[in-house]
Amino acid sequence: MHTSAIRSVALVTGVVAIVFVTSASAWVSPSKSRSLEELTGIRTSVHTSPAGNQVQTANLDHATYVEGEVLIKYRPTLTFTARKNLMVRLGVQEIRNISGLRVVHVKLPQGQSVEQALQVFAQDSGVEYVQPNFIYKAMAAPTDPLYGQQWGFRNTGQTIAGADWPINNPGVSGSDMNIEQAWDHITDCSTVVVAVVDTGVNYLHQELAGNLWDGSAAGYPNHGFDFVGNGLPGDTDNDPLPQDVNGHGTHVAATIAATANNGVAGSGVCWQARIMAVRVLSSFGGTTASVTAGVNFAVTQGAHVINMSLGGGGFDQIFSDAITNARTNGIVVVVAAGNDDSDNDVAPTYPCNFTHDNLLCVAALDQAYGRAGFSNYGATSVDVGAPGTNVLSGWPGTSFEDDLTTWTSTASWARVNCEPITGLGLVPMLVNPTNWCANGTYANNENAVSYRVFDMGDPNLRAVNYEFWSRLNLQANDYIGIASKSTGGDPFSVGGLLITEISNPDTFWFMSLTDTGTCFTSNCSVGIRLRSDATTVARGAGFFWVTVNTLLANSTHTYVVSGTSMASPHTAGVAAMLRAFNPSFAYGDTIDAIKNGGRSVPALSGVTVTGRAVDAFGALSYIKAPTGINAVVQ
Amino acid sequence: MWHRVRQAVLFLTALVAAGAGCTTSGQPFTPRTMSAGAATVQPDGDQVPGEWLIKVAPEVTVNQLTALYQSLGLLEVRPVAENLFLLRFAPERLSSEAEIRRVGAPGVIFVQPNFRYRALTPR
Repeated sequence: MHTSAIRSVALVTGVVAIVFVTSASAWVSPSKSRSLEELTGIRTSVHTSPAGNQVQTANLDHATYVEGEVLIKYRPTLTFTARKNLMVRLGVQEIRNISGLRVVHVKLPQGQSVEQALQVFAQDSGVEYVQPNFIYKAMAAPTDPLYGQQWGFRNTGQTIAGADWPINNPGVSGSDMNIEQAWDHITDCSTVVVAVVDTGVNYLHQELAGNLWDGSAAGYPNHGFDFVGNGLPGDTDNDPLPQDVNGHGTHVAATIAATANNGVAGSGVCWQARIMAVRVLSSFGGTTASVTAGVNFAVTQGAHVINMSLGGGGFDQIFSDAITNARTNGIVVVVAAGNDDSDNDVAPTYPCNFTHDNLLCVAALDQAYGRAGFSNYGATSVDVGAPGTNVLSGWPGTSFEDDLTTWTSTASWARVNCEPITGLGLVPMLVNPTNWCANGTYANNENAVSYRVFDMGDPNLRAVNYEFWSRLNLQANDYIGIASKSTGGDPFSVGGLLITEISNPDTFWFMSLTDTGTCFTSNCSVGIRLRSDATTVARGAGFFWVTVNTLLANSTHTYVVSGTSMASPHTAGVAAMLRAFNPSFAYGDTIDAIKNGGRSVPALSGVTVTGRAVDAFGALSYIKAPTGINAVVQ
Repeated sequence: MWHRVRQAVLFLTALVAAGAGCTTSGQPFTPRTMSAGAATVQPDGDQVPGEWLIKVAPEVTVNQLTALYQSLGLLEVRPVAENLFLLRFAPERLSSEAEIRRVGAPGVIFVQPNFRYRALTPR
């Protein structure tokens, strides 16, 4: 049995013995093991089990003082001999004399309870007072201001503000990862590198800046790599700028490793895990080529855990090979189950449905530990569940959706309520022509502008991402354009910058634009323009909204989001915690501990492999039954 | 937020149904002009139209692949990893993996689509 396994034993709540069972079912002590106290610093005691076996226990949360011991403050007049006589008189065995305090730490005679000793000893004339030997432990719950909103760490039945998932908010007290008990034993995961293979990471976020993988020696000074490009100047595919203009990856990373007790936002699962930022998804997603390149980067650069809160297509041999390569290098891969409320056993989705034994697929649980209504499941394909609704975590900067109601427009634009897709119902839109809903057509020789001024003067601003959502139908030589102007006013006027202009579309249209400095002023106008020639017209343009995400240095922003994307990093954080706590753990040990140390949850029974939710303390405490050990009965 | 996310999904669904990414004339839909900071529109779907990944034996070169698949409208061969290449075809010229397989080639281990992946926030 290796030391790490012994450490695990020591953490089991309640009465758990450091024992092995021989073939004769006798209880024996391991001949070369170290004591619990030596290994963990946790005070322990020894007693006899109902079966007559000697059992060494680790009293963690269920006791406030040490059984069989008290502390006695003796009178100042007592001489050395009188003190020894006092010990004899009380029938106790001195453990230690704390002479400066006139306090003796004693062991009680067998069969005498602490309560009895307190009553009896207090009557003795040589005793000034007597008290239990109280147990103290680190108070590991973080003090961060939004920690109380992180129900996955401590569920008190609180209501989560800004929730995006309405069911079971509030949920059920106690439905959480049992992580505070784990934090009593480990919070420092600085020896473990967790690769977040995602939309990038805002590595300038205050919650993450101190907890990043240092890749500078390998030529990656920004803590990772970008395999998809983000439209930044000179930034195409494959560059060492894995910044996150989307937010998803930053949220995932902060769930794993946000700094605790820094007075900012909330906490991560394991406070100092080293995040490797691997950007494989843009606003449009990623591909086999980008995702597998990211996985291989993480493997090559020494990650211990990979989190992938992503999913997609059919069986992907190249992706499968990349996970095999991760397994060869001992890496635990944690992935999300998917958000289609479907059975992955019936409709496989990848990477969840890969069968590698170094891969864990995670479903999402809500605040009452029901399966989140959107979460995929699978009795043979989805391993465990973890918190995945209304998860508060870090965000790159501000984020809002502009519904175009305050835009300044020329006359041919109008705000209307339309039903652009049958069944969608009426939605507010900014349209051109004004009778767009009634299948009208735009005018010839149109030059119609609509714009809004944004305050982008924050000195910490590093990037702004604008996402335009629209329905377009234009003829050839008619154009829809997007422009900006740093001094306000019509962005298509002199001094403005035409960012993009397209003709002839007939489609729902999603445009993602990232500005890294051309319009970083408090008077930045951003606008759209419909421009037509003198012939032939069509239906025109209908804009639904514009999503605006900023990326800030020193960001303290958070966001509440739901998804199996959020359940996966909770689990990856526990994997990091296990690998930090037990450095000798192989990927199999880590996955065994997460699966078997989990908490049984009815909502997961029959729809996941284990029927269990990830339990951080349970995983730390889990010990696999040893095999092949020759124990000597003494 | 939730409302808008749901709308976005309907958008994407409609995008697929409408064959988004194409104009009425069926040409690839890309912005006419691009400047710094702009990203192109890409369609939804399980795989990238016209893109295939091909794993080959170590002795196979980019030039060999280029010569082999030129007749299918190959636009680009890009190395992705060791012995793995991304083949990009004009989507209107090639839409079937079977066509690539039919050409065949000594040293080709397998061909597969370039699948799409996306972040898993709820729909």
